[in-house]
Amino acid sequence: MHSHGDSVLPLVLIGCGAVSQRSYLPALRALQSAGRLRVTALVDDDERACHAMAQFFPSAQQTGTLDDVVAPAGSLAIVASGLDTRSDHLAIALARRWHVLAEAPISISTARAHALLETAKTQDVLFAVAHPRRFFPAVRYLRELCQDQPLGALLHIDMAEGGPLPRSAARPQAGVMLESGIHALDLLIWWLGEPQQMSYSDDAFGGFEINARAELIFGTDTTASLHVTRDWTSPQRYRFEFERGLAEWAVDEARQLTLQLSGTRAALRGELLAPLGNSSVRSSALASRAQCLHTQLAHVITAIRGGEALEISGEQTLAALQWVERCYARRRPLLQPWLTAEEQARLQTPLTETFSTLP
Amino acid sequence: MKIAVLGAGGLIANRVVETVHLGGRGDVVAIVARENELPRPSRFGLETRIADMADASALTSALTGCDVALFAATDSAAVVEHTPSLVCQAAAAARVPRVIYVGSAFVHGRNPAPNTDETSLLQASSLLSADAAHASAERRFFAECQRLNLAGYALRPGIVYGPRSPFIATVAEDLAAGEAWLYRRGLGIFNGVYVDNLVHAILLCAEASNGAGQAYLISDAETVTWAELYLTASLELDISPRSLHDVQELPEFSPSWLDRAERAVASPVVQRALPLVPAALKQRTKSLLKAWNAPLSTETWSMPQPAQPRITPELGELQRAAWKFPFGRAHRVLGYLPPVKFAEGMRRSFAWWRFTRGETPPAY
Repeated sequence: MHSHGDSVLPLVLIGCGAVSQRSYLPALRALQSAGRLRVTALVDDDERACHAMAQFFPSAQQTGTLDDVVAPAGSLAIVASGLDTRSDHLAIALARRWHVLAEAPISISTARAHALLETAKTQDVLFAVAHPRRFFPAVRYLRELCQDQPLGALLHIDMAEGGPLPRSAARPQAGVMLESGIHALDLLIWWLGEPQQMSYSDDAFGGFEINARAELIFGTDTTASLHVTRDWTSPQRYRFEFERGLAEWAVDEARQLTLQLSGTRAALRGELLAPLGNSSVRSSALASRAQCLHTQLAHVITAIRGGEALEISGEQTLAALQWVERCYARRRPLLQPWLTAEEQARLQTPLTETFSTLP
Repeated sequence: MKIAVLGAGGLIANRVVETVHLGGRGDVVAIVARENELPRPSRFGLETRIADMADASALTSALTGCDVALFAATDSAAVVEHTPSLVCQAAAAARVPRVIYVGSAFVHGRNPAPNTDETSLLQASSLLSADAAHASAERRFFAECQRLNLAGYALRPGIVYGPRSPFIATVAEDLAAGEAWLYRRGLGIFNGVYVDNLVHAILLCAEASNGAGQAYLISDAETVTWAELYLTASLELDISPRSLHDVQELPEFSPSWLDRAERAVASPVVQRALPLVPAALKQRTKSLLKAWNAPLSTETWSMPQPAQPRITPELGELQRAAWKFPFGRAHRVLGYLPPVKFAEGMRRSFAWWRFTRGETPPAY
């Protein structure tokens, strides 16, 4: 693995759109100011997006094509381009022997994802995947609740996420399950391991689904329901039912949770703090969303330098993509009782197999 | 028939896309103004085109090859008033011979006079500003159709309800929050139309051999009171109808400074200038206005109050209606008869609402 020791890490930002502006820009500025990285190139075929980022990194090269980028082997490439070009950009970056931090999903197929990961191994570079939610204190706390079981065994998780695309959003390159549901699946697998059974339905009919529902079984006792949508504003929350309590997480809240212990008369909604210790010292709030995004990027830089093991590698996130692929291969039409009987009949396809077990 | 559906992600347009495509009634070209509006029509692998209504060249290109162009009025008064002219001009340039415009029955007011029908005079001064904009838009539409020799049909539906309807969402949320209310026991007329009934009327216009150059009021078959509407909704949602507030007198509504500011922003002059305002400044202003409008914190000496009825000027006016909009002209000229009954329309509407809350089994 190439390491730059204490030198400033050159960084190529591939894709300067909404994701980069919203999620990476503050962390990039902070880490550049701290001398840990230097943004050397901004790549996007949308000139306006490039210019928007260039305001903050005026000395960075601006270009519409990766071929023109001047960056040495061992640089870090953040690949935040659209799904239609992401895996191609990753392939080019890896061929240039750049480490990569890629938005998920890294590809629309596991075959292509495997090939990219193999290339990363051959090139001896790091392949990190951006799943910032895994750095959220609330998400880590929920993992402890699921795995250490202080509220008893987990019985069920109900997950409802998504809504209409914001005005600035680009055209979708895939259905909602691949573009958004994969993040929810990644968390489920990180919390609970891979499911034993899964059934899936969506409303695609020749195109991209905007509503996707998955029902999952983990082990013998734990079930999960997932609904992701681009159609209507969802409740945007995950609700956990344990033997001895409930927990609720508002999607994308970094450090807030709601808990209700069985037998108590109220739920408690609050902000996660550092563990209570010496009574004279006030506990401080845990990391905010912005701080988590910063931590994610800082961690990747440290991992490149060999300072710590990479937390979220490409291999570790492959399972979620594999499950999305299985979903699409075995999808059933979503029940839409608000349509006419004739329309519902048109949308139904006969069930040719029972999807119930791992292959 | 090849029908161009503008604003294809919207409530009415989306249902037209679904009905025509799934029912094999013709070919659909789904047109949206921005890429973020593509998801709904993109379920079907249809031809989609992107054209902002203000971009004449893009709109003309998007309409090319179609037999019919359909567009529905949006809520923004500034957009509503000018859209018909733009669409008609583009349709003429693209040689689309027929244009269908979905406006609003509330050009007659939300509490229409007895015996109101399509021939009743439209009194703009007595209308809410959004309704006055619709009235103006419809006049422009027919003027342009005549000038450009287009077969123009204008439909005037009341409250359009159904799956994906903001009205159904509001009814459901108000009932759940204990904020739903009835004016004087809800004896006023609910002037609504189930979306599939409106779509049926639209397709009749698309296929009609006569009847162009006229406006048509479109409604459900039944005369339904607001009490019946909320009772049906309560049953669908398993909420006690006793939670409904009975309001005997409506409050006086005078526009707040925020309402006046919003109307000023909606004016064509300001709308034209808005693109010149930096996005960050617009965002900060919106945040400031949102914070300014936030309710004051509760005085700590007061006990929590029970939920109060959420009364808006528009809903207040609607609940006072004593006249049901007729659809006689649509029946005589187009052969319109509402295919979906009110009870079935409400069942489907709340089936959709329950789905959004995750209460529906997932698959067939």
